[in-house]
Amino acid sequence: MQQETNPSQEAPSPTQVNEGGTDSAKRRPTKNPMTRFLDLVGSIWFGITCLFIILIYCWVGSAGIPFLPARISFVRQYFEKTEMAWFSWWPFTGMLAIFCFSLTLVTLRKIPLRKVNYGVWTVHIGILILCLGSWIYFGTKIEGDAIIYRGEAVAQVGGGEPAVFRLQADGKATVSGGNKKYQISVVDLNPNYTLLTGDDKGKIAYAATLSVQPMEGEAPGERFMRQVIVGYPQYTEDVIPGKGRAIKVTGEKLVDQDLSITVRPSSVSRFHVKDEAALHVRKHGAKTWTEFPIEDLPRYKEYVTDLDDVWHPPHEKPTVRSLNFELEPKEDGPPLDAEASFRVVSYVPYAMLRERFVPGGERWNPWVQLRIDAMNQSVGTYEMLAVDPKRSEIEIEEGVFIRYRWVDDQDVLDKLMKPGSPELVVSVPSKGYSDIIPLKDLEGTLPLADTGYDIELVNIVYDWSLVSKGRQGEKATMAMIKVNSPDREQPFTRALIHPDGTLTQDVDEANVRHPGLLDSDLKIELRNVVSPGFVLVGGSVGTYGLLVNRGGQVEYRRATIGEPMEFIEGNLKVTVEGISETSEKMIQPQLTERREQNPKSLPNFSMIQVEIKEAGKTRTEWLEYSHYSHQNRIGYYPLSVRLATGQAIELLYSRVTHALPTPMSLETFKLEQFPGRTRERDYISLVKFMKDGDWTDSHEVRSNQPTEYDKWWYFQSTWDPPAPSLNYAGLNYTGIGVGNRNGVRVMLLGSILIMLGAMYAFYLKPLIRRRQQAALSARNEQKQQTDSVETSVSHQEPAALRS
Amino acid sequence: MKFSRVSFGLVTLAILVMSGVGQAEGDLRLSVSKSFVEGLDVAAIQLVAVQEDGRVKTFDSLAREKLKHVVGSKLARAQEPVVVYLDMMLNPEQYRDANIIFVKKPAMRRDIIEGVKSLTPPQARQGVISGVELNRFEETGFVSLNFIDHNVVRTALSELRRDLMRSNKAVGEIMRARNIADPRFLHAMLKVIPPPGMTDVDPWYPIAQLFGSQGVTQGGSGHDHGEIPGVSEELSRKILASWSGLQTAWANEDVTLASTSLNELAAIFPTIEPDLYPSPGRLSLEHWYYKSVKMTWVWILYFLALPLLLMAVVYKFKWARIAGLGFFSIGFAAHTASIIIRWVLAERIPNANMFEAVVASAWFGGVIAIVYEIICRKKALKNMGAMCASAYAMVAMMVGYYSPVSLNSDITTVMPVLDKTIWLYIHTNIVIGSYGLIFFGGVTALFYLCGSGINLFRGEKKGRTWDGRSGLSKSFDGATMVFLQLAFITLWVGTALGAVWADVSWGRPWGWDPKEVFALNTWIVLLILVHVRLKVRNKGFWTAIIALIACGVMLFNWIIVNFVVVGLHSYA
Repeated sequence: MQQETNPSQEAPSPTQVNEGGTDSAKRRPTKNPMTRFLDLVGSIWFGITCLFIILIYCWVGSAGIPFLPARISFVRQYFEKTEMAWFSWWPFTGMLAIFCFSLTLVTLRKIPLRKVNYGVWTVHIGILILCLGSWIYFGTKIEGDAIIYRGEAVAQVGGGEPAVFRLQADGKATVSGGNKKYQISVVDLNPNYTLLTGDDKGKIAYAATLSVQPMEGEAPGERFMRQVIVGYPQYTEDVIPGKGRAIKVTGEKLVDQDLSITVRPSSVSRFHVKDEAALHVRKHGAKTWTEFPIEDLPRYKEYVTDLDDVWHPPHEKPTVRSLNFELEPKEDGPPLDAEASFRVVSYVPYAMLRERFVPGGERWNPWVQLRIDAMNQSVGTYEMLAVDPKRSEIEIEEGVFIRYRWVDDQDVLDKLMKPGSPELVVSVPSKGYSDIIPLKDLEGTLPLADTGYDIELVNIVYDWSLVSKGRQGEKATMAMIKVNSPDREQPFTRALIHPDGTLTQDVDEANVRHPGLLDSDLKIELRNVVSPGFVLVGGSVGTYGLLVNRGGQVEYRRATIGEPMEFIEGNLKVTVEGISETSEKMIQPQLTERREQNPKSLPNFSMIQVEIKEAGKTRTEWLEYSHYSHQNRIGYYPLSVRLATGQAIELLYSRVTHALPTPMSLETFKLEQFPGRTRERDYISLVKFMKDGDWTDSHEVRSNQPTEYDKWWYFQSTWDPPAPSLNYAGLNYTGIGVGNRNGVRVMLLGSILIMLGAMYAFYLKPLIRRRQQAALSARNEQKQQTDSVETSVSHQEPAALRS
Repeated sequence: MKFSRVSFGLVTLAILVMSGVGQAEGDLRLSVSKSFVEGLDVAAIQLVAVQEDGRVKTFDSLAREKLKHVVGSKLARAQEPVVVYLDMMLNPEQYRDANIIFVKKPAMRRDIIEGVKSLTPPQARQGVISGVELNRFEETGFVSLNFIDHNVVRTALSELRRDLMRSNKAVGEIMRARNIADPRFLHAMLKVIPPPGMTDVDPWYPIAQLFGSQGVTQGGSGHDHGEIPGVSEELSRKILASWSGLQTAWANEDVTLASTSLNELAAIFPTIEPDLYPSPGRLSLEHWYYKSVKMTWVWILYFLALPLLLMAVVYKFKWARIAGLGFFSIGFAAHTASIIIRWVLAERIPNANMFEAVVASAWFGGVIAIVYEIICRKKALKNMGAMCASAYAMVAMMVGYYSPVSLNSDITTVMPVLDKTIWLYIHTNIVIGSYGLIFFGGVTALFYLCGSGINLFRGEKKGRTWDGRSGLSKSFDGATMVFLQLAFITLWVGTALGAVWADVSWGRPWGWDPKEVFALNTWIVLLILVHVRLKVRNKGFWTAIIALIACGVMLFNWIIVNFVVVGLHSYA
């Protein structure tokens, strides 16, 4: 930095810089290349140019290039750099190095170390120290986070091996010993359990309710619940569902005295490193992962090796480009005991695994893909399966259905095309009455001859959802018939179900359903009913589209692949885009539409495709991102794969882990809230560190209050929020950020020097200069006076001598 | 001195243009008559305390805060907010078809209309959503609840919501407005009953908690009503009786009974748990503060000061200086009062959201101007500080006045990282103070360039020069450098202290967050300015150009980075 003079008194040469070396150049007309180079690099314009380039680099990397389309505006994302990576990239560090070099040259060569220039020197040294500190800091920076649960349970029975499991929503373990075996799982966690007895009555404690299920044939007995409270083992007791507390039932607090379950603070010894991806692999059942770091994994763009491996939105076909990251296990991690190697070949930043059926294969599973347009507007494209109840019918709008049926029998097709009018077949055997009544004739009450019965159609529902056991969700037609019976004072309603008449039921005057019929003498059957909507028929009889209106009339067209069938004077067009008798299930990433992609969510919805090589064979698998390499609430998606050798392994796409300097445990986690308890005010974690085999006193970590231990910084990062809609109280873990911070003090020193130097240059230097100039003026004045005296004395001096 | 007249004219024009910023009127017609509204005594009920969104506020504040999201800020000010709130709550059906929900952005209106049109062809849309209705919506921006609840509109909004970059946020605001207008929501928000025997963190209860399954029975005498722990049966009945009376009176437009019922309710709530209830003085103060648009009208005083101070700078008129400094001083005093009041009401330093930061930054500008004017009172540079501070504060307070929704002028709670921390006092104030200085530098640089341009246009007649070395040009150039040198130091110190705060808060001093990067960018521009000044012949001109660039980068950092670019500092 060069400083400016006081603006109100512009000085001719503020820093007394011999910029450009023009005077010296005149004296020394020939310069060697090194001098020329030093003159160039050590010029102020060179420094300004460096600053300008650094400014542009910073701007472009942070906010993109304004006014350009997003595709090319975001240069940093184009180069697949996070903010941290962009500013650690060689172009930036190189530019900074050149700038520092230039700054050093300028300072040493052109700014004399005088009192007036102390400020400039200080600022320049401050900048160099700041750059040095940044180089140390960012060069050695390791940062990440770890989840610490509030507790873990240790279960042991009959002197067997103890089983340890975390107190988290899905925590569970199997414990055995002697002749007993139990499966224990967490049923409920209560972070705000109020103690009801004892000296600490009224205090809030952390309690867990565990389900203890005797394994069949191993430990006879019934399931019971064990309630444990962290810090209060004396209050552990069992509850037998439906019977109450064990002490009231058996006289003992515990159902099985041999089963010991104790709780203790949970601890962690590793943390997950920020923005550093890794493939985790382990043998099925193993506890530790072998990590394969994936260096320079892309972040923002799709890299898809084969378009058939993903499903993409229409009109957003991803560019085919593959990755080739051969993975090597981390050197300091446990080796993988499996004969397989791994390579990352694809990456998608925004996707979700989706199950779809595709035509082909050997399995008989009729499939069709339809496109529907109404009033010249696209309604949508639909995939359907004829024999899958959940996929054979789609409600595209309220009450408007499309159905897919596979028909190999011409009679069935004929029946579908010409179903006849809906009608009721009514009989009263005891009175010899039998008749067929078209539904359209049932307007108002209709007496059934002289049987004493009369019936009336209340309504008909074509898409009635069945609620009968085992048939829930299935659709059927239901006609509600009001019946006046000679044997009953009040009328009742008969709910006729079609096509499965066995589900027909009566509803009495009090609106109570009756299994079976209230009046079995009256028999009514509903037939010839075709639900309104569109039916696509496939099969050996051909492919047809049938449009059924509410009156049961059917309009049908023969379908040709790719050609629209037109109904209702061309206002409805249905196009069969593909049809197949066989299909198979595929699970692949469905890429998210660009407009729905949220950069804030990265990398939470990213996936990698891993090629597994083993025994001369290769296969690929897609893996979803898991933020932590252990079971957690945020999302944990390991994939089990069986190798050709028969060995089962688990794969997980997550982050690199790093050992903590010392294990850390959580004593408790507290939440402060604003009035109303709708907003969090602070998150407080009390953590302990392992020192010489024992836990230290607790350290409080909260917002704006990290703790430092063993030169590492620990700060509040995340927490476990409650989910009232899921009846989840939360507060079962805390997320602690972990990071080193080498060079921070160096950076701080540089910053302070810049501040002090700038103050000196802007405010002290003008004063010093003013004094110097005043002193100089005084000296000149004195000299002039002396000179004038001398001149007056020697005014006869020869001209040559004066010159 | 045509220069000053032109400048003055430009400034005035800009102010008038900005003053015209507003919005079209919607048809916010109450279901009750004007005479009923005018006769209603709401003095007591609007001062009732309500616990909402983490703080205890007045019913009037709640009504203002919520209604501005529904009808827009201008319309919300046009009616008595408490009366509108009660009317929407007591007569919801009257509002189903009224065009009360305001969609501010024209582009969003067009997107919704296009969405509706694409979903329903014209022949199918007949009688559903008419073209006339769509045209009116496009012109005014106001729509009804029925319009938003229409299937086709909901489908169009759902589709638009999927576009995260363009329309997700705007659709979210529309749905928020729609939810606020829902009477169930209005009831649920009106938490006016403090929990007896509990702490100040425990939730308060809405009156609706006392309603039975059939609502409020006539006179509150029925047996079927809800309970609130600690509130006696007698008190519950009393509240219900008054509420029932209010409902009846509202339906019959019985102004006497309505006023009586409102006053009865207002008298009951403070007695339920006096320890948790705010003092009447605090509630009155909050009511006055909200009613006076958070005192953002103070921009008018700065507006009056600005041209006078400009004349004092250009013409050296003593009377203009005295008058200008007078308006500036009154404006600054009122500005200071607004900050103190907000500090008292928020119970924290008021610089934690965009509105507060803008107002506080302008206030720091005023402080700097006062110090500047004292130091430079006998120098050619005098009046520059007050003039720049007036310009800055006028713009800042006008933005607060006209865009209370965008800036969020409500008194709110803060996120944990900002709560109870000394760094909010140190880092934030230094940085926003430096922003003020950079703006000052931008103002003087702009005037310098205007003068330069005018001089160029006039062909530098009569030996007049504009090179930053003499006369007015020297004053503007000198003032620019005074402001920017101070900005250079304060911005650096503020940024460095921000890094210290980031270190203790996020565990790293510097994470290349966009806000951090653009603070650095602004500083680099100032660094370039200092060095370019050493090397160029026309120092004044290049200083002015780079000062304006610095101001632009600072504003980009404050506005674009905050509202558009995603970062950790999005609350700042």
